[in-house]
Amino acid sequence: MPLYVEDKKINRLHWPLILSVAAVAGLGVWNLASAGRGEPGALWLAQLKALLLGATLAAGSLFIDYRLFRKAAWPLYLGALLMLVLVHFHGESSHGAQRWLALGPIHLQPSEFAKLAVILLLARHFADNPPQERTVRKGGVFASVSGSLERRWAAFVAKRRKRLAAAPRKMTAGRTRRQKGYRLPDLVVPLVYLLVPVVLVVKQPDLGTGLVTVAIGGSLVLFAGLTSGTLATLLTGGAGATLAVWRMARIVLKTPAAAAASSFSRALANAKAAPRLTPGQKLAFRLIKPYQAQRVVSFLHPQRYAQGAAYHVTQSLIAVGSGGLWGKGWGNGTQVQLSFLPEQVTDFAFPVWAEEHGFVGAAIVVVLYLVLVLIALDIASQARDRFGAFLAFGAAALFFWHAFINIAMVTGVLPVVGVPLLLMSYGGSSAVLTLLAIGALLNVSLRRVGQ
Amino acid sequence: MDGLLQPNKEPRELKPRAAVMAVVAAGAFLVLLARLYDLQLIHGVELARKGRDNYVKTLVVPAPRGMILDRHGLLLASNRASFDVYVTPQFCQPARGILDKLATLIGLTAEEESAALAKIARARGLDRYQPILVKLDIGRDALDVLLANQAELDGVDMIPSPHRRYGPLADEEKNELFARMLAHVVGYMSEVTAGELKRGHGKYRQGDFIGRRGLEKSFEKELRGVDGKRLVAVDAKGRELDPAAQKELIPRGRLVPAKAGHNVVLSLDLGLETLAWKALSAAGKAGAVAVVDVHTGALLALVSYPAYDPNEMTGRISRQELQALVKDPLQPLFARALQQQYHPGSTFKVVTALAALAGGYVKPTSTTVCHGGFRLGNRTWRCWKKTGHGVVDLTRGIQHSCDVYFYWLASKMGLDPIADMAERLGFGRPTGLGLGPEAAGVVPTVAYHERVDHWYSKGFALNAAIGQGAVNVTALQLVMAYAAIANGGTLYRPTIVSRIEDPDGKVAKEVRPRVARRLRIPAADLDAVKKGLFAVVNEPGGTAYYRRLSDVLVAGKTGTAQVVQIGKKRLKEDQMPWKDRDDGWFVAYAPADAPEIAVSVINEHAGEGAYAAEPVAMAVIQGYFDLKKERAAGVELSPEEIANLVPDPQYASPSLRRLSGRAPVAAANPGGLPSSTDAALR
Repeated sequence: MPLYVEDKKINRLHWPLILSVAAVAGLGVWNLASAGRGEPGALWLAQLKALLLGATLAAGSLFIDYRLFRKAAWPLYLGALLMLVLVHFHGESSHGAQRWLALGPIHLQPSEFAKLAVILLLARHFADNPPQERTVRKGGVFASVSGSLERRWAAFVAKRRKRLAAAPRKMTAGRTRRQKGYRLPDLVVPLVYLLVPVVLVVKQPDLGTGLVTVAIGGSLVLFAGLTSGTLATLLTGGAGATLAVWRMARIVLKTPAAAAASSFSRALANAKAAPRLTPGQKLAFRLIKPYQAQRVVSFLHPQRYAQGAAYHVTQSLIAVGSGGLWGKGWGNGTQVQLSFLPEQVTDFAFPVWAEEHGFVGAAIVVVLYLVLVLIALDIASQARDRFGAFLAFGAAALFFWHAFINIAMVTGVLPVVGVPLLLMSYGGSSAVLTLLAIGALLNVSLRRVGQ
Repeated sequence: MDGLLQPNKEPRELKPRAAVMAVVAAGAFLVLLARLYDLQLIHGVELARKGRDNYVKTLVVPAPRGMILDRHGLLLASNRASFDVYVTPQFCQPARGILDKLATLIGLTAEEESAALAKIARARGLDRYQPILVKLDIGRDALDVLLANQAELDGVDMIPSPHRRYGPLADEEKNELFARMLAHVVGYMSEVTAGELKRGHGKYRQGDFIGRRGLEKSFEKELRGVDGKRLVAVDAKGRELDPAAQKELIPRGRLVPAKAGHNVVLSLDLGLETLAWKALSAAGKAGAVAVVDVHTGALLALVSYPAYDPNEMTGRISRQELQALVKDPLQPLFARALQQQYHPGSTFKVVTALAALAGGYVKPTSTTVCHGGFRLGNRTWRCWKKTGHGVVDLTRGIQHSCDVYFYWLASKMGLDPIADMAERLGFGRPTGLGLGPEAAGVVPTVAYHERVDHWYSKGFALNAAIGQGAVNVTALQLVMAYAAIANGGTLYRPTIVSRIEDPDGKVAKEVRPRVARRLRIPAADLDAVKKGLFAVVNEPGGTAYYRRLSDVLVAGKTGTAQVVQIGKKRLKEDQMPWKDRDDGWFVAYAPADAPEIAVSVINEHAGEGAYAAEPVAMAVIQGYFDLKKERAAGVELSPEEIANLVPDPQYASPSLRRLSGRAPVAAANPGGLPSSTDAALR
């Protein structure tokens, strides 16, 4: 296997990227050393080891031209699916979900792995199948929607008043242009690639990782480009789906069985026992678990659930807010050190940082993540080829969604879903795979246009 | 390798989209920054306060309640260290096993155990760290047992909480005697109700105890101190942090000390109270004794018998035990000395006598003749002595308790002068002792009978003259009236508290004798009545002559009040139902020549005053002077010694024998009983 390193000069590496990653990772370890004081063992050390392993693997991967990754997309994707199926049967449980797979001494989280595999496969797919040029109406999204309405209205009016029958054709004639973009039928295959692992992940259940994977896939689709009509359809569908989820969450919470049924199967058993459940209720129970429904609803009414589902958010808000401008100092956060803040080494690592280092520290971390995303987007736009661009964009989306959802969740902007903050939350699989994604970014940048 | 590394074309068109995405990402992160600014800088102070509320737990430091002491400083109500048992659901596992173990160790009832288990099962979330009360007030022994078994009692805590102890002794069994005799004076406490919590304006908290009866209630404000508080820093599981962390997290105001309540010092003498209680309880089933200092109106003893155990009533009593108390026909929850009104019988004759003298209807030397009955209209009012008393003047009338003499007085003056004098002597309205509700008694007037019975005739006056008919008084009213006669005409309002002291022993408030009224009865009239009262006890033929004391001159009056109307045929005393038998009275003061104390004794349904009540009163009087002698010799009686005091058996015995069903030894029971009158005439 030939190595395609065109220029071995070390200064061709994207040093700003490396430095900002090192900065975030360093702050993350420093933060874990404070947050993990109540836990047995030195978490920060374990995290540091995982980061070093990831960095080593990433550095090694630089010697392989990223264009070779294209070949590995399918094997990796299938491997990820296999692991996801395995974890369903042989996984280790924690917090009521089967997420970990033990491979000898290594405990792997296949869902993390699946995220990267999906990015790789979608990048390959969009690279190999560029969109076709098509004739579309002029005027972008608004015109496509309004144009369609206009036509229907005109047809309706025409039926009533025959003399206006010719008018609609006149209105749209000559207002078309050639547009490049994917349309709905083109999206079926990528959607299947995306949804198969997502369904398996959500089944674990790990709603957070599933959502992030969907968000990344959606971002890749937007990046790939859609025709304006397709975009409008998808936006409408997305809004509809959000409403449906909200509605179902309300149904699940309002159904009496929800109080007694703490698990999926029991909810179904109850549904059988209670013939009064309507088909709508049964469907809602099938799709949403009571605890998930409660999170959605409690997000909008935190006071009502202060000691229940919204306890996490309430304590997180207190932690973040009580940090003030400068914070309480490392190791001095009362929310953290007295364990009022739940899950403080994993999903709620950011509030730890915000409490102990204040607005100044929190803003620095947010800006660092923004810098990471912007650098990744820059690398994507300078990529040598479509595959590289999609690969880099996938990494950018990965960072963006993790950082945005996590910080928005811990500051009460979004409901609580278990999404870790990359490089700050404790997690070996996540650390290694994140650094591999950084490796891929460096790889694309190393072999960018004009080099 | 075919085309593997061929750059596929057109990455350029992706470039503008990456730029759009960059703008979107920057916008999204700007939202996050704005949110952080909002939380940390705008709401930072408020959220920091919430954070402080998270880890600062406020513990109340209960203020020690003031003590209640007798006149010699003996403890009547005080606080004792005791422990309440709590379990914390989170740590108490398995709950059933541990509670079963608790039940065998400290004797939980099945009811208490299942209630605790239900509460544990209901606790969710952070509530699982809230301790649940399982058993209130376990004793020292039970505490030792629990401490010895603590290793097997996960999540069980014994929290020290001061509880009230009534009576001076730590030994519960020996103390019970004191607790009971004091119950109607000192009262008891119980948990505040929801309504009181609301009205208390934050002074009380859930689970606080509040005075329910007696002094505990009347002096609640003085006895209750001001609770302090202690701030402690805790972690999310409610565990207290180490002292260094405490200091760091709560730099100031960790402790606001409690202010103890004031002590209430009584005029009551525990020794005399004990003697009175023992004498009365040996002589009857129910009754009251009141002993008062004639020169101040300060009560030296106040016994209402029977009584409950206030130590049980304060928190520990079970529903069944309380039901039994409420349903007890002898009504132990009832403070007889002030709340029960009785016909005073012949003890009321001094009022009739004073009324007649004051109105100038007779002179002390005026006489009438008693043939055993008094004819008014077409009816005859019987004297208790069928054979008659012959020629009777005031002194003889009182000495022999001759009913005819007083019928004669009443027939001369009618009802209203008697009522007028009774009211001057404090009858017919509460004395104002301040120990809770009091019975007012009834002083009938002509108007009263016209209102209640819709007619009046002189017969009512005749009945009232001998303390029957509608006349009703309390033991406390009677003793205050006799004290006023004894001290030369000053009617005091009775007091039982002599002073209030702050926790350091400084007097915060002195209670001065309170004069209810100056009677303004000529000394000659009082002397005439006093002469009669002296003769009752000290001259042969007096109704109380046989039980006089050998070394104290006592003046007093017996009374035997009939409680049911007499039918055609009257049963013998021991054939009648207990509740139909006569009430026995004795009211006296001593020494007769220079009075110090006045005593009234009512022994319910125990028969004639001379047998049923006089021995009790005499024992109390004898006890008063004995105790005084001891005190003068410098002997301070300890509570244990007081517990062992026995009233002089010489005075209690005749009555005791009566109770056991045998015939009285002294003074023959007057034979045939009146059959046609509507009053008891002895």
